[in-house]
Amino acid sequence: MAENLKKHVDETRRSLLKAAAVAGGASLISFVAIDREKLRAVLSPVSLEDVVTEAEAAEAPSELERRAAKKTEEMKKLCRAEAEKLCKAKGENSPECKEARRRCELIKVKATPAKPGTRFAMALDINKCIGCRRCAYACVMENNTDREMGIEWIKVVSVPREELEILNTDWKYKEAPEKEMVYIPMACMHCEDPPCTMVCPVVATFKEPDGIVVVDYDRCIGCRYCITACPYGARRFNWRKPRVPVTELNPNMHILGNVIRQPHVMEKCTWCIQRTRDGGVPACVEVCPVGARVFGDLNDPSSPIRQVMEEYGAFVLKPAAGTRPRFFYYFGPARTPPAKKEKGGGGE
Amino acid sequence: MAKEYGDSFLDTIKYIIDEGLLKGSKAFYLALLGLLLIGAYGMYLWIFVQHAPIFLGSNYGGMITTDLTDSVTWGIYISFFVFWVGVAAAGIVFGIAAYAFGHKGFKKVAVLGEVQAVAALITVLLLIAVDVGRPLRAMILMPQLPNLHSMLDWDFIVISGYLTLNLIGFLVTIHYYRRDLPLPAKFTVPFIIIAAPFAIGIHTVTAFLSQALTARPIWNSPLLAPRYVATAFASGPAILVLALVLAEKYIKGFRVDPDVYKKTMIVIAGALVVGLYFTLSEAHEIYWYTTEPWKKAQANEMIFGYHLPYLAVMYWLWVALGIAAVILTLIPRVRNSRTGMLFIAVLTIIAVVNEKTMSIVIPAYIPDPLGRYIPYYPTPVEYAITLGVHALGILVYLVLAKAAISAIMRHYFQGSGAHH
Repeated sequence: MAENLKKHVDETRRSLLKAAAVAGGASLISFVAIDREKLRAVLSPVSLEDVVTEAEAAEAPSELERRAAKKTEEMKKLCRAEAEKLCKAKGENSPECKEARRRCELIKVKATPAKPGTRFAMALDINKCIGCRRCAYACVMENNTDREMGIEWIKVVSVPREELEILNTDWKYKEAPEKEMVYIPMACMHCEDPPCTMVCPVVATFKEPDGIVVVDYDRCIGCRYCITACPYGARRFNWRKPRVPVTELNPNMHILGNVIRQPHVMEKCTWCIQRTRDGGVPACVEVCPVGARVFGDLNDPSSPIRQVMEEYGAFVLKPAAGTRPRFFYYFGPARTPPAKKEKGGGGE
Repeated sequence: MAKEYGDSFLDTIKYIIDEGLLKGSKAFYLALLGLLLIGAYGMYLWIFVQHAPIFLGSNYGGMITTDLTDSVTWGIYISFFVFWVGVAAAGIVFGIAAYAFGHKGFKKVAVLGEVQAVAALITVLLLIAVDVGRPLRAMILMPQLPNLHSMLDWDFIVISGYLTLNLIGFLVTIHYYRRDLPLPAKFTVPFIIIAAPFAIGIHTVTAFLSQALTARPIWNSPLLAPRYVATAFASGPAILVLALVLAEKYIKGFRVDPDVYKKTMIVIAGALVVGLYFTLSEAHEIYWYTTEPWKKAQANEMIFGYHLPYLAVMYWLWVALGIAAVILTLIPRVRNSRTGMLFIAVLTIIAVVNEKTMSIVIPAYIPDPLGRYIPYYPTPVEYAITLGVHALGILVYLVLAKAAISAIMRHYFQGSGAHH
């Protein structure tokens, strides 16, 4: 009896010790892995679905990307509705209808973030520019700008050669180039200290880390204070619902760039954010028939913009405005050849 | 008269509704109806034409129906916004005279300055509402995501703050006067200490909206804010004088202390002199030697109106009528007669409307930063909406002023205040 009792007591003690050991171990683990979330993940049974969603969360679709995905659907819906109208009018087999349908399916709204360490800039050779306005046209086509209000992000103004003052400009000239005139294409200067972003009452326009000043069309309240603040006349307002023909729609879109705009919001040059963030060049640079424009990363010593600025120097328009533009102008080789043999071989 | 009210604040509000809206002659209701119709038409045009794509999602309409462009982006709405902010700010003149200096005559009518400020600020807020492209989004986003670097947010904050202050001042004054009690010092002293800087503040911040912009050289001068405030102190009191003279004429038994008129006329003339002096100083700075060509081009538009003649007309009207009003104030025979005062007040209001509205806003956009001269003539839609907004402002003024005057009458002309 006594022995039995002792055995029983021993067993009880042993199981108690076992239990204490297990509890101690468990609490040790929980002490080591203080993060409760992690602990739960370790202890609870794991299903494949959970793992997949977690992996997706780790990839972190940013707020902007989520909005871009939604925007893609919205744009497609908008485009399809327009295409439907067009197809009804022109017939199902017409080339316009097919083209419109094709473009609608290709629509993809991106939210490509800025690449760390890049600092975009553009430079324009005033000696080369012939004032043909092809850049303005290419810009309209690339950026899905309204066609009927005549919104152009790039305005080419012509001023007399002897006076480089942006005053009494002619922006409706019919013939170009003329000998005594200088043509100055002006768009957003993507300033280092942009007054437009300072005055925006709702932070709807801001400067991205790579130097591009963008407008968030879903946030703009249309107060037009930024137009008032911009010393370069770079901003455009959608004074009514914009109209873009679906057959000319550019399906390669960026949420901060060329998605189809809403009525009563601001828009402006984004240096073709949908192209440049993916390593391309803006449409105006690509289309310029005389190669007057150079675009690149200021931080990259081998980029064309660095070469141009080192070789020819550069100036900005209206430096007195104090906004430190990142759009430079320079006088290339055509009329003012580089200083003779000072630095050795130049571009020639 | 038969109706009796309790002592609670709710009864004060009942009193205001009764006195302001439910009692009145046929002419009063006719005026209210007319104003309401004009206001409703303006709001209709705003919702169904100018902002149709926003409110109705329609393809037609939009702000394209205005003559605003990417070149001239702020027009008649912002022009009158500037004017009415000034009028609202100057409502404080009576308050300062009454509560800071303890002038008995001004104490009687100080509440009318508050009524004027409330009505002017409601006009101001409506003008912003019709000018902003996406008003609903603005209402949601501005409190949520304010950018404290933006003067527009500060303007919104001080304007709504000043509106609240004046509403409080108005309600409390009526609350005491209707029960035939004088305003206690424990209200008036803190009120005037807070309200006076706020009054100067709203107009200063409104000028700060535009004066720090290098993109608009004609505004880009530290003189802009003082100039705004100076002429505001002419137009605001002038409107008060106009209201007082008319009230004396049409409301039986309502009398204003002659000293109130005398002192107000001095304020008007003084403010006009300062404003005219600033105009002279500005012209000297631009024209005497040389200046930045862009600034000079904008000044040329303002003073000579090469592309927009009405700007020059307004500018010279301001100079001429401003000088005329000052000279007339200096003549005692004109200054001391009711008709003379009325005339000077109207002259001053017209002069300052010409100085404050279009001729201060539009030249900054012509030429624009691209050197273009794109003229701006408000379209019928803009005129109608502006008119509608003003009708609503006047409506508010009439209702509140009527309640205020009846409370003043109760305390000062029928009650204990009469013996002061």
